[in-house]
Amino acid sequence: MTSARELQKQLPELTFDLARELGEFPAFDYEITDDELASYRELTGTPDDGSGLVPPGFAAIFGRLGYLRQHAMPPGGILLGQDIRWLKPAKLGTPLRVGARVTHAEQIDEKRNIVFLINAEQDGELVSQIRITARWPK
Amino acid sequence: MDGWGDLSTDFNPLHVDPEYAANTQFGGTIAHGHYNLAVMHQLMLEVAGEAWRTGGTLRKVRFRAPVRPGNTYVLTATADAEQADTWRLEIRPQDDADTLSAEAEAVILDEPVWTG
Repeated sequence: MTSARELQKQLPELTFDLARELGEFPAFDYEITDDELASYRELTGTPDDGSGLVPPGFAAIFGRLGYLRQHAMPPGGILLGQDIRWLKPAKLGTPLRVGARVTHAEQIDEKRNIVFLINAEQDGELVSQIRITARWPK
Repeated sequence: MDGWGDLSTDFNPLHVDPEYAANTQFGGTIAHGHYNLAVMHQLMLEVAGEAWRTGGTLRKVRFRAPVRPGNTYVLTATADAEQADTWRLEIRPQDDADTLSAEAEAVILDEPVWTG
């Protein structure tokens, strides 16, 4: 079975120019599996609170996937800032519809900064927004 | 960090390749930024309770110094004395309280949908 890491290597790199050119990334359904949830809880020390709701920190994961689901991040990028907001609780077991777009991209000398806005909906309602500012390596 | 890489599919060598990371400005691997954010969110769920799920915003996030594997860090949430429903979050090394590794502001608010 091909590992996630190997699959990543097969994806085209999302370069600064390509991100700027694409501007918008197709929305996709993101469903958290039981294994992912267990792994998340173990890695972050998050107990199972029995609520049946998505742990809020998962937004850090699906936010990034919003623009990197079909592309690989070139090595050496740095996350400069990230704002995350929750508007409604999200249920486990129901897919989130995640879409992303570039809201700002600028290059000054060798510094390439990109701002993404990611929206996550569940059952047609906006549940979470993520704004990511990253320094792009190339 | 390998586990977080698998979960998030973020295999940036800065996080998972010690040899590569040793030759960067960081001198070794560092934790994923979004891992730090996930831990901050969990703390806020404990501090603010269910309100965090319906109006919780983590903002003004800044990464000031690397969070490194093998070190122990302390994450704190301090209520803002002047602004209601606002907390200042900090991550600092347990053995070096003068170093600020990451900071953010956590606030429960009702504001328009972000458009940019």
